[in-house]
Amino acid sequence: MLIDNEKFIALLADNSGIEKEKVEKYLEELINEMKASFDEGEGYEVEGFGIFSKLGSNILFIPSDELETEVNYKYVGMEPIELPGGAQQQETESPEEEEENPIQGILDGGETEEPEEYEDPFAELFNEAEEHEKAGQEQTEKGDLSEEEIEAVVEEEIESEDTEEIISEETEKEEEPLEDSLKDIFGSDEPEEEEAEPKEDEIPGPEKWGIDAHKEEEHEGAFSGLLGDNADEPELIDEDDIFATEEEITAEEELSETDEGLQQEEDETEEIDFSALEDDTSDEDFEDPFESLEEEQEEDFVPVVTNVSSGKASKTEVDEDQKEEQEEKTEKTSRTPKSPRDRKQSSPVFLYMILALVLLGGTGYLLAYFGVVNIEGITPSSASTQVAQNTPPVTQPESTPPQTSQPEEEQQIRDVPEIEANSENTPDEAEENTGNISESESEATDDVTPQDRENDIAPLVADEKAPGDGGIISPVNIQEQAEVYGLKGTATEAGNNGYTIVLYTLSRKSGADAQFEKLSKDGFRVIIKENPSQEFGVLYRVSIGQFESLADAAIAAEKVDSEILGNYIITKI
Amino acid sequence: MTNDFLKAFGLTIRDQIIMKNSVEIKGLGTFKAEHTSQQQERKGDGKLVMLPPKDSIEFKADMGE
Repeated sequence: MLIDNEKFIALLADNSGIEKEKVEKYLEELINEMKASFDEGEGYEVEGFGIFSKLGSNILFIPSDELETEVNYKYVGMEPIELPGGAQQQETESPEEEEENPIQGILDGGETEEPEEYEDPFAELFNEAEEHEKAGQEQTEKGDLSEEEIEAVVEEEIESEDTEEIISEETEKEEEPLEDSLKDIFGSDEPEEEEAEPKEDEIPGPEKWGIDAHKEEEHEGAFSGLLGDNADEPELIDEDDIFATEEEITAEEELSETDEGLQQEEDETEEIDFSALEDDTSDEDFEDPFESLEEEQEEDFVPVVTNVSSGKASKTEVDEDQKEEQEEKTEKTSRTPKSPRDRKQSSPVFLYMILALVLLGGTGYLLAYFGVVNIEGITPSSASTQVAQNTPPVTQPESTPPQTSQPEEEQQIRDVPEIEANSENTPDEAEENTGNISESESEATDDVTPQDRENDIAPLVADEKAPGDGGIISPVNIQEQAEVYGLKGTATEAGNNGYTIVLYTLSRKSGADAQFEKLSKDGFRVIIKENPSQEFGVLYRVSIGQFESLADAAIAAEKVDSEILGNYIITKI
Repeated sequence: MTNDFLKAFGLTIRDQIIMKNSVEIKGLGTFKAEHTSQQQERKGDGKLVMLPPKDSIEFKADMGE
C-alpha cells in the first residue's frame, strides 16, 4: 500500500496534532534544510529516525539503530541458529576425503599393520626363546660369576671378619667368653650364612632375646643344627650371667656378704641359668613338633576348641614349663580370636543402634500417618455421610439439561455448597479415602463456579473493551462460551489460553492504541499485550483473534486480507 | 518546524513501514519496507547458520526530479 504525499501529510497531522497547513510548511522547511546541508557537504540527521546524506547525485538514508530495531520488533529474540545439517555436511564432506584414505590405509595397512601384528608374536616367541637362552647363559654365567663372586664375597667377608676380630678383640678385653664364640665361628669358616646371622644376632641379640626368644628360636631352629647351639649359647650365658650376677649381687649384699655363699649361689644361679637355657634348647628341640601346631594355631585363628584340645593333648606329653608356655600360647591364641569377637560385638552394637533408629522412625511415621488419617479420616467420613444424603438432589439436576431452569438449579446448587463448604474445606486433602462421593461433589461445585465466575467476569471485559456490547453477552452463558475463541468480536479472558495472530509489535502505546482502534473498527478482536524486554523497554504487541489451537489460527489468518495481516506470526497469547 | 513535528515525522514513517506501507514524500523520496525472509548462510567455518527474518528500510531519493 502506497502512502503518497497527501496521505502522509494527513497522517502527520493526526499523529502530531498540528494543523495540515502547518505540517506542509514544516515539511517544506525540513526538505529545504536537508538540501542546504547537502549543499554544504553535510548529512542531515532526524533524531530517532536516521541520517540523510548525499553521495554524488544520490541521497542515502541510514536508519538509526532505534528505527531498525523497532522495525524488527516482530523478530525480537530471533538469533542466528547453527543448523545441525551444516555439521552433517561437513561430516559428509570429510568422509569423501577419508574415502580415498581408507583404500590407501587398507593397502598400507595390509603391508604395515598386519605384519606388525603377526610379527610381534613370532618376535615375542623368538625373543622369549632368545631370552630363555640368554637367561640360561646368564644363569650359567651367573653361576660362573657366582663362584667367583662367592670367592670375592668370602674375601670381603673375611676382611669384615678381620674388622670383627678387631671389634671382638676390643670386646675381649672386657668379656673373654666372646672369644669362644668367635673362635667357634672362625673354626667353622665354611658356611657363609652362619656369619651373617651372628652379625644380626650380635647387635640386636641381647635386647631381643628376652622378648622375641620364641620367634627367633623358631626361625633358628632350622639352622640350629647346622650352626650349633654353642655359638648362640655362650652369649646367652655371658649375658645372663652378667644380669644374674648384678641382680643377685645386689640381693646378696642385702642378705649376706659371704664370698662362699656368693660363689655357691652364683654357681647355683649359673646352673639355674644353664638349666633354663637347656630348657630353652630343649624347647628348641621339642618345638619342632609344636611349631607345626603353632603354625596351625596361627593359621586357624577362629577355631579355639581345636587349640584347647591340642593343648590338652600336649600337656600330657610336655613338661610343666612347656605347659606354661603352651598356656601362654593358648592365651595368645585365645586372645587373638577375641579381637574378631570384639569386632563381631562392636558391629552388632551399630546394627542395633541403626535398627532401633529405623524402628523408632518407622513407628513414629506410622503413628503420625495413621494418627493424621484417623483424625481427619474419621471426621470426613461422618461428614461425607451427611453430604451423601444431600448429594442426590445435586446429581439429578446435572443429568437434566441446565438451559431451561437455571436460576432454580443455581439456587439448589448454591444451597448445597453452603452445606458442603464447611465440610469440604478439610476433606479436600483426604479425597483419597472419601472416594467417589467427594469427586462427585467437586464436580458439582466445579459445574457451578465457572458459571458464576463468567457472570462476574464477562461484564468486566465488556466494560473495559466493548462497553456497548456488554449488555448482550451476559445473559446467556452458552453463547458466550461459543465466542470464547474467534477472530472477530471482543476479546475474552477465557480465550487468553489460546493462540493469536500477531500483526505488529510497537514501542509506543499511542501507536498500539491507534492500531487497536483501527482494527476493532474492522470488527477484529484485538489484543494488546505489554512485552517487557531488556533491550527495547516495554513493547506493545498488537494481535488479532483468539484461537483454541494453532491450526485454527492459521486457517483464520488465511481468510484475513493480506493488507491487514502483512507478515504475521501466530503465537500463544 | 518544531521538535514535535520531527518526532511525528519519524513516527509516522516508521509506523507505515512497520505496516508494510511505502511512504512517498514529495521533494525527498520514498521509504519502502523490504522484507528478507529467513535464509541459510554458510559461514567461513563451513557452519550452516539459519539467519532470522529481517525487515529493513529502503530509501529512494526523489531529489533529482
